[in-house]
Amino acid sequence: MKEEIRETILKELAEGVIQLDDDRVKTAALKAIAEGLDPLVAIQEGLVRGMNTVGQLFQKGEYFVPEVLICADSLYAGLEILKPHLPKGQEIKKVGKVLIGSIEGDVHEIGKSLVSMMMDIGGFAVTDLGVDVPLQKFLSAHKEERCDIMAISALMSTTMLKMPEFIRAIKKEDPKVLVMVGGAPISRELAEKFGADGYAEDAQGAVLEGKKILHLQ
Amino acid sequence: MKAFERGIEMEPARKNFVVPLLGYPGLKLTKTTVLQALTDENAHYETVCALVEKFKPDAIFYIMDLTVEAEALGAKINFSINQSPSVGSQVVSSEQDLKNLFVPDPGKAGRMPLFLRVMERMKKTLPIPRAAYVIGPLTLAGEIAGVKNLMKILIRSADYARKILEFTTRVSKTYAQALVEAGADIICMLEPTAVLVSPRHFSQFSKPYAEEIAQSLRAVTVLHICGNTTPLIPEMIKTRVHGISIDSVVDLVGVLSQLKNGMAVIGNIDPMKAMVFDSPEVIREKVLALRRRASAHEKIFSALCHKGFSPGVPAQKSFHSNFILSSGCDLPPEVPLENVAAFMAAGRESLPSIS
Repeated sequence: MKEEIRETILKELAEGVIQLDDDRVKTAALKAIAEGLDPLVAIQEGLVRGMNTVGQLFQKGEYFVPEVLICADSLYAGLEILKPHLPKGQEIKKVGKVLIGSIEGDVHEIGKSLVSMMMDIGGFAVTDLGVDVPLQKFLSAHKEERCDIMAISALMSTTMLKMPEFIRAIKKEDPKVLVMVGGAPISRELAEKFGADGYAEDAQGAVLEGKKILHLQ
Repeated sequence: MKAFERGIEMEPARKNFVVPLLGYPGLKLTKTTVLQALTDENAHYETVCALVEKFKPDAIFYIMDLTVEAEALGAKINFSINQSPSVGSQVVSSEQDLKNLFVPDPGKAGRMPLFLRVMERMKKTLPIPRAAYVIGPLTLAGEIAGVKNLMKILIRSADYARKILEFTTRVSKTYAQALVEAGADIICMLEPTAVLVSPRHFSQFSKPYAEEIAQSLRAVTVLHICGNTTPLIPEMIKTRVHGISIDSVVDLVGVLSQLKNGMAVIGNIDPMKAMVFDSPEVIREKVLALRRRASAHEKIFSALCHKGFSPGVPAQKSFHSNFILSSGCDLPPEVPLENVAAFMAAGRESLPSIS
């Protein structure tokens, strides 16, 4: 395949994600298949690269939650086309396992879902336990999945105050697991006070922080 | 000469209001649980009275509950003994669902009557301005349609979004008007979901509706949005409410300098980092530091001299700063009472003149 075609397809995939345009992404994904472009390359150098830019635009305050959600929908529309064409055994390499959930008593979903989605796209294997997750559910999920990182979110100050107890219990169960926390009332200072290993202000930051605490970056 | 006259005229009655978002810390005073306070009129009313008696703020809010309107629309509410309740079901999944909903009668629906009765009793007995919360239009839209769905609807089908917002506006407006009739001098609209959207989306999907609610009320109006609202401030100001309430991450001085004449900013001591975890001494320092920074930019004016803010004081004789000292957000139940006392005392301390 000509370098020029390859570059055009990859650019279209990335731009489609960035421009919230799922039709553009689908067209480019179909073209990638037709032209014989490696689906893994299309995913990582097209879709994921586009979503990284979206994450940066979000951090810079140019994109907000609605835009990021639609960009992600566009990315997933492309993934749906490309994934079935991945050769058997060739899977998207995962950099670590994450269990994520909003803490018990907290039903705020959106921030947690954004982190979950960006970490998934950023290369982590993510199991999302949902909202209002009691400690026992985190612990039993860890027993089954043996995750590297447990990510806990709280949007309310009242629920946030349960974090130290959660972190202590998780560390007691498995001292090797790393705990990341986030949510509007939390700061890095508080996260450290609570005994967390990682903290991020937003979803894009969570991807970088996750890689940092696993010493991947 | 003229300036001098204005100066001496203003001095005697100049006042810096101190109005923390109390509520939950009061539960300790009456040994009440969150659940009791939000489901039992007496427990709620007595907690509010105990707060006024103990801390003597310049205005008093009743206890915050963001689920009252959604509950009145038929949403399932998850209550717990010591945590604020949350909305547990989505009542609108389609335009047809929306068409089937009616604006609830505040005298009958869910716990709206409870809050109205609390307000009636506050009006009868409390000598300071009484403040009520209602939910903002975009936030109620998120509660009934699901926040994630709503975010996508804003981009994918703006017409449908507007239909939801026209409905939620009618709900909040009707409830807010009933609260004013019951005795509320101040209505604070809680619009936390707005922090998720761009200033452009805010100007389309929150601002006009919040403005419509505010303009329909014969009361002092406040718009509160949690979190980092720095990009939204210019649009928040355009809602023409009397006061913009900001969270602790926003630069209060930056907001003061943008305010239009007659508007106030309300904030913004950190309700967690400072109020829960700091000592009374550190809280005093933080309050004084905020007041010092604000004093260089605040304006003294009388436009806020609504009956609510100056009971019994003729408007022309009373002047207020457009900086109202408060917490950045609702204070959680874990705030030690001595920290609230330290906050109030530091708010009342006379600041040495910086000139």
